[in-house]
Amino acid sequence: MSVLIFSLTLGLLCVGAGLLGSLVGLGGGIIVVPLLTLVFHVDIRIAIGASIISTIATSSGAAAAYVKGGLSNIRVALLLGIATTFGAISGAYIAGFVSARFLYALFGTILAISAIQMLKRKKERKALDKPDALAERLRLSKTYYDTASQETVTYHVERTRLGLLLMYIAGLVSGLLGIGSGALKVPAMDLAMRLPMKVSTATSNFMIGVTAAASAGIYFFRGDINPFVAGPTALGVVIGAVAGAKLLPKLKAEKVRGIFIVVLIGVSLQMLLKGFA
Amino acid sequence: MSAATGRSIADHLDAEKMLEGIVSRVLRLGVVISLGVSAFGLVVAFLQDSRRLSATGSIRLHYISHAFQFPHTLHAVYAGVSAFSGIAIVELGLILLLLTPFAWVLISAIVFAYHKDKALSIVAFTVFAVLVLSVSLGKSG
Repeated sequence: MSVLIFSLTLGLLCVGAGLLGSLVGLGGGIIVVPLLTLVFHVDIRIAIGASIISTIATSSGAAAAYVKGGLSNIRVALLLGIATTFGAISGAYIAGFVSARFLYALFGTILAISAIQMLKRKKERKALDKPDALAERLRLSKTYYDTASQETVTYHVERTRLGLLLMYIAGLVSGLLGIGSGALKVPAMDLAMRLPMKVSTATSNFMIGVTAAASAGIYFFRGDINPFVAGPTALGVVIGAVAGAKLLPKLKAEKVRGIFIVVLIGVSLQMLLKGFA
Repeated sequence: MSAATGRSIADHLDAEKMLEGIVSRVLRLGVVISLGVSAFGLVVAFLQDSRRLSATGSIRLHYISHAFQFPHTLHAVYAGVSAFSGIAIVELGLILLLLTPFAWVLISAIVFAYHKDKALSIVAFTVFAVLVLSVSLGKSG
């Protein structure tokens, strides 16, 4: 296989990764890293570099649509962004010291967590009556129009400090593994800070790009953003994600989800095996 | 609630709506431009070095490993782009992509400051400072 064929094949497969990712609500990173390492035998650090770059692209593309709809909360995204960017810098640094085996093992674990999260039904809880003091000072409360129930929902934010701590950890994992770590960001907002599920998802998407940008710089200067790997990956994943967003309303997402969970568990086991073998 | 605070809250909501519109456009534009540049760079790179890049065998492993030297400092990328090197153009596109989040964070910091939303403006400037810090940390190794 020549570099040309490699890049073309990788780009095409990444279209599939982006498509699948947007259909099941995960970023492309969680698919891209196993694809690059297990299928193409690319060094895991170069795979992570390519993935972090493509994560910025998909997050920004998706966020452009969400922000306009008023679903994501810019104020919350910026506040939590302080924690995720610090976490991302820490993660990208640690990634330079730890062994590839450790990265495989951690990646396998995060994949398993994502699979478990997808198994759980997403349901809305009752909204809070009032925000905590910090959230009140920063005016994090907001309203959005819910298209499903056709009513305007007002929500408040609580446990802002706990949210910040959890976001630091989410940023750390993102910087270490080159993924958006939406699987950690969404529960931090939804479970800890009690934001509505839809708002948590939209805001997480929005924050992922900022988080990824904070570690991507470090990967770039380290020489991990390989043009023949990161270029085709970013292009493919974005094309796939855009197509996925167009297809989504026409597909039965439940079926795709079911298959995807099985794939996630399988890939998770393989990564864990590489980590501990 | 006094009329003054009522007005200022409405003002803030308008500011946020406007900001959402700007941020959405910046994000879309950033992705389209940066990926366009990278795609163009890839085409140029394959045309410039078609013999080695389309050769089969183990040479591929060299190009996708750490052994392959490509511009990964701002200076090297600048020099490469000036010399119309396809590989440097790919890297330039990826740098532009990396800078897209920087742009919207900075814009929101300025918009919040303009609308006298001091707390959020400080928050946004802090995020921007951390992003800049990440790049300078990366540069110094």
